[in-house]
Amino acid sequence: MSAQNLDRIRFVTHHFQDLQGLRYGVPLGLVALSGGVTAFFAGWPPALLLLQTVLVLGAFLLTFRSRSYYRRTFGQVERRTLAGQPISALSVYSPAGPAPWLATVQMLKPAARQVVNTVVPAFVLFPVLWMISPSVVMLADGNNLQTRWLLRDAVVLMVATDKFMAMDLLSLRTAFVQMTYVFCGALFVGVWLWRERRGSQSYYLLLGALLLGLSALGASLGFLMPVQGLAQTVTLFLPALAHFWAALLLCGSALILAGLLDHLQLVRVLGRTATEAS
Amino acid sequence: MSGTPFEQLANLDRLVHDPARLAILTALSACERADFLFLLRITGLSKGNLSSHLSKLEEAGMVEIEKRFVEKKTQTLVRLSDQGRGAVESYWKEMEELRESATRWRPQNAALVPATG
Repeated sequence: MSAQNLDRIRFVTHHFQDLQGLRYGVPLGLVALSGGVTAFFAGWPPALLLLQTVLVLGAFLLTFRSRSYYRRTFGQVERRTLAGQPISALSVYSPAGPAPWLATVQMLKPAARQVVNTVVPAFVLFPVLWMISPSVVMLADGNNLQTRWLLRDAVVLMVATDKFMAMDLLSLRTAFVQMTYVFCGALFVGVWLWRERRGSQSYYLLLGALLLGLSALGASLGFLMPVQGLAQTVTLFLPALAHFWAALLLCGSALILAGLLDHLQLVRVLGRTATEAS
Repeated sequence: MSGTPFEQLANLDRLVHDPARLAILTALSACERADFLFLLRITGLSKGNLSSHLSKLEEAGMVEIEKRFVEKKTQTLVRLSDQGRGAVESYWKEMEELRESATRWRPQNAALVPATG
């Protein structure tokens, strides 16, 4: 029994529930895909309603069925309840004792704490990048844009000179789309940190970096668009940066992919037979 | 713990040091409790082997075994006792000390080694 095997046993036992991808990640991704499909089609055609119902019902069914599947196939594990770390460790940074919000963060469960530690800085950094980036105005007048998805409606990525004074609903929507990537990307990175930064979980880091990269690309368009040769490449990403349906489809796909990879990891480790292990 | 690495190695808790039991205890130390099926899957042991190792650990007071009926089937839940948790922790501490002393150790009676060449 090598140290590597023992470490794998410890990790899989500790994260047994979290690695049940068919129970959490995949259903959540299906719901996000359903939202993306709804946002894409306007007017709610009957076929869309059917598709959406199938996706949402499939997600619920998968959650319940997979719970029973995991219990029957791999058994049951009760998670160990860990007491929170003493908050006195933080008091070195403040002679008056830990700051109230830090104390709150310390009381959170380890998983939630890692997610907060990544989501909060991401939500702080994104508006800063957005503010320092030069303004870009893109109107779907058919002359400036080659991407046909953008012609569906007038896409204004950032408006005019003063972003905060001149922001209209369309630019707010664009910011919201990019914030969706910030949230999902930071969530993925947070999950990777919480799962001990393991190489076997690096797909969370990769997917998180890709989603955060998309948000960073959207926020720094003002720097990139004037660069010769880059504008054409960046234009390819504009639908993903401007449309909420694209953000939901991409985040949903990332959740499904991560969920499937979690499931595969669980099957690979726990699917061994006695003869293989001996 | 003092002495040569060999003495330290000889003094290790054999109940914990056995590979199969170490795998069981490692899994149990990472959770509150686990059922028999999960332990079977994670360790890769056969049912008979796992049962035998669990009995030994239970006799030594390292694990607590609880049987209950779920959907007309018997479910066996295994939990690491406080004594077992302490034994696993001290085992890893001893292993760490052993690793350190093995790194430092040099043969004292090198003269006994016949010269070659």
